[in-house]
Amino acid sequence: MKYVDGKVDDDLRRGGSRQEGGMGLQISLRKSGDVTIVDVRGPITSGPTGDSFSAEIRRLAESTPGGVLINLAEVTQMDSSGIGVLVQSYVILTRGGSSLKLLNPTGRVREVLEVTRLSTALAIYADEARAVASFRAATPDA
Amino acid sequence: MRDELPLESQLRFDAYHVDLRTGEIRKHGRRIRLAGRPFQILALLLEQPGQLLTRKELQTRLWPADTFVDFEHGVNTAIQTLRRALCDSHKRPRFIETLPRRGYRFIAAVEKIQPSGATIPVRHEPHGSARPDWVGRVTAICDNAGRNYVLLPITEEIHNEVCDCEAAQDDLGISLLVAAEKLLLVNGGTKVRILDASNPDLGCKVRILGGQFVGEKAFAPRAYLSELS
Repeated sequence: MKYVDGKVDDDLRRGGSRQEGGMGLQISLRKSGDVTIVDVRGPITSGPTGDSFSAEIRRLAESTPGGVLINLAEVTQMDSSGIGVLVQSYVILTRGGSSLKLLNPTGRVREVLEVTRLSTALAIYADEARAVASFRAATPDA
Repeated sequence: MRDELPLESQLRFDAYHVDLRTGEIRKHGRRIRLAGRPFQILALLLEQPGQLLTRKELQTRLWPADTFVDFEHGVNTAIQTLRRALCDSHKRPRFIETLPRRGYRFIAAVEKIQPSGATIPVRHEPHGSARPDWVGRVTAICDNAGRNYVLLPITEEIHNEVCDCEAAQDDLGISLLVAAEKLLLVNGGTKVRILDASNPDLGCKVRILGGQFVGEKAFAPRAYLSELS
């Protein structure tokens, strides 16, 4: 599934990752075993696109039996709304016996995660294969 | 030492209830393990909230004159134990402030509990002079560590909660406060207007003038107001 500027792209519900134009937030999903990998591109900030990101991540958190790995490599900006979505999703997934992990935050996004302490509360990985493998391990190796 | 304690011995500060006669301290009704010199130091601090308790005074009141011990080490250890018990931080104190090379000061409001259950405030000598000349001034939020972002608690109470989280290394607790927007993520350099500067040593109430939280009120800890003098 993919959101472009806050609109659902139903063509991608089966796990596509088609690229589209636009300056807003783009989300695409893919699977690796039980793990759902969410590739995000653009800013995760308050507003319509942030609301769409929030709705999708919460839906995943409530419906995904496996873990959720959010790839932040191409996220350019994150504000407290983005932090709120990540924290709430982490809580929902953890209550359900699953987990939420982050992949490749860079620059200002990494700094936001550090200031808000999410970088220590959540496991963060630089390598996707290790991140996916960690969901199967008894203890995270981040 | 115990004979020097005031007879009206039930005191309260923040969520803590102290019985000086029995030597018990409770937080939200749950007893906290604290005894010996750490408790005695707390009792001395509570006698005169807001005022300096010198290290010399501590020495003469808690260690007999003919005692040969490493007094400096003893005081430091007792203060550390006391701070741990109160979840306090020497960097961002909520209760016990260190005045380097001089002594300590109890900085929270203290109430005396009457037999009827009523409470009356213990006279609190303000430790920092109010700065009415700051009120109305516009200044920038600065982080001395050079980070691009700063967390501003929305109230002094949330600031205290953050200090609790930091003392307990509760990182998820801090993240949850951000998620609940009780701790506001603002860019360094964001302008704020000072609304209240009655306790400038601790921080000021401010109005945020830019960014995602423009228009919101917050409590800016003193460390982020380095432009003010």
